[in-house]
Amino acid sequence: MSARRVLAVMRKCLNPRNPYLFLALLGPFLYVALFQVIFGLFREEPRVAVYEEGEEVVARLLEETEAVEVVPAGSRGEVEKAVEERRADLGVILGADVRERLAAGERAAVSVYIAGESLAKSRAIALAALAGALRSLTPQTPPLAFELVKLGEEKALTLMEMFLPFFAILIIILGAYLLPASFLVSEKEARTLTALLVTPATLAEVLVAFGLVGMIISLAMGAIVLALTVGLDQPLLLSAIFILGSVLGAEWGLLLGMLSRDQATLMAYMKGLNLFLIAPALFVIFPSWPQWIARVFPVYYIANPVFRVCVYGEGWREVWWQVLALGGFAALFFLPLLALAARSQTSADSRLLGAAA
Amino acid sequence: MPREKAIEAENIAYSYGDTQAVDHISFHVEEGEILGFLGPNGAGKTTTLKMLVGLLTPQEGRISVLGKDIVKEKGEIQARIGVCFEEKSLYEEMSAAANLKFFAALFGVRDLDVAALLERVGLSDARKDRVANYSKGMKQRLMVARALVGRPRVLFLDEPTDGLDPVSSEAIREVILEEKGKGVSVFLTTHDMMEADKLSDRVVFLSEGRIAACDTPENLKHRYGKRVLKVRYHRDGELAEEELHLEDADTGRRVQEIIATRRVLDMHTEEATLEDIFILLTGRGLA
Repeated sequence: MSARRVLAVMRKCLNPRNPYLFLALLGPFLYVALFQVIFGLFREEPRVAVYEEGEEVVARLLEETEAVEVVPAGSRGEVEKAVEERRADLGVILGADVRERLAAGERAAVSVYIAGESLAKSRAIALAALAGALRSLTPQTPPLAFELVKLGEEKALTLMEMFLPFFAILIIILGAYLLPASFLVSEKEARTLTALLVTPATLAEVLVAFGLVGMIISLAMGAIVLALTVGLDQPLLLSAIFILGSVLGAEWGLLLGMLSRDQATLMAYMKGLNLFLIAPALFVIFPSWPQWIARVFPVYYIANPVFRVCVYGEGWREVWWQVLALGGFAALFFLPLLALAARSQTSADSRLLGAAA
Repeated sequence: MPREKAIEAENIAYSYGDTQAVDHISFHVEEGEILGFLGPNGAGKTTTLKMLVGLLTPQEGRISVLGKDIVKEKGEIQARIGVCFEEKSLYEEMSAAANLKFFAALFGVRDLDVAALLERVGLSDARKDRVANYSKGMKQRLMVARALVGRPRVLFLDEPTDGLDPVSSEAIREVILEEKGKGVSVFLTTHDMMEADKLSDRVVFLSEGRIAACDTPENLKHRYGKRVLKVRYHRDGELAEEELHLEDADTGRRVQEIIATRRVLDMHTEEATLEDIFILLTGRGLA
């Protein structure tokens, strides 16, 4: 195996005219951006415009609830305008004496504007949050005491966190899996693979170069996307998961590339297989689904540890067996790749090396 | 003193399922020799070439190139050969220069003069153009140039001028002869008998995977040619034509008689072409 020849093939692969390279480099960003835009438009926190004469106490209390988003307003007119323009579901105007009257246990008048097009759910949440904030300013103890029992996951997940398993798999699919497969099939279609194999370059060197390009791009995209979304708290552990995941992805990509005669066949295979690649992410996103089903899929051992490490801060102690399983799958799929590569060296099967062979 | 053998194939065979593509053939190519490997489509030329360059492993027999076994020492052999396939196999989104530089990197050739190489095949003006924009002839010339990147000792050319314009064909023939002049051995598959006749030191006739004949074009013509003298002359006001066999004892006397009439229009020997001999030996044409 010559590092010089592997590097030469890798350099050739980084051709900006390759649409798959473009997709692998920009795809994860586009998906994350699209996701943020779509779910940003449908965000669920009700917005409350607050104008308080004097010190801003109620606005701060509302913000602390994290149940509503406070829209700052500098005057009564701004509150009315925010509600009229649907920038706020609720508008609240608090006079200078409201806090003093509440603190003294007296009745106080608060002006509230409700946007006519706001959702009933948003109004209920916003009014409850406002009532809670105002009650905290009174000296009376509430007549009822609530005991809170949390059901399900302790942590309230953001949408980006929930969909992190999907992004982790997507990064592996677009980089480590799709790129080596497309490189190989492109070489077959152009019959250049045959031309490569009558030079000192061996099939193993060509396959390693294709796989490495996909893996490096997957790792880079993984690091960037995680850093931009949920952070990179445990880089070594995450690197290990992504390296093993991209090795597995590259093996699948190369296997598929060797078995595909052309781009149309490759795309047909991929359409059929993508469900099996994406499905495990759904099981991680919806933990109430029977998890044993997901554990059958090798990709689960990429999606789940990334999710547990990034979202719940788990470490080697908790996810070691999943990383080990991932490594096991990577080793397992190396065997058919090796067998197919060995066969293609001596076989006249045109699928393996292209029609020219 | 006999020259070294650049290629030696001994009793090689290859079959695709029940179809015997190459049927236990033996031949050799000497150093600095051009061997024309002739046969119609499906005769087994390309399968033989693939075995010689290490793309297919012979199911039977043995091949050595430059004294090394193609199965055991494929890497060493491939570092010293150049191959030009019949079908286009270029990186079309890259320029001609980038294609050659990439292959030079694979061969570990650092001092390749890309401009000079492209000049040799008449592509220096288009060296920065994308190969996708090249004509068929330009692509074929670039394929030949690519085969020379590793400074090969043996060249394998599969139908290098098939379907090309006369200018491109001539450019490629010149390059082949230049390489021969440098001592490079050439294995040339073709079904163009004229080309084989012009370029080859020896030719192999391949039919249905078997060798029907192997010799120099001159020897084949001498052995299998008609060797007749064709004479056209006026006799009693009409055009007459006679074919006189050169081996016949009476031919000399008869030629003198015809010349004495002073009415000879033309007179020439009629040589058999390689195609005639191929048909004679195999019972089929080359198309």
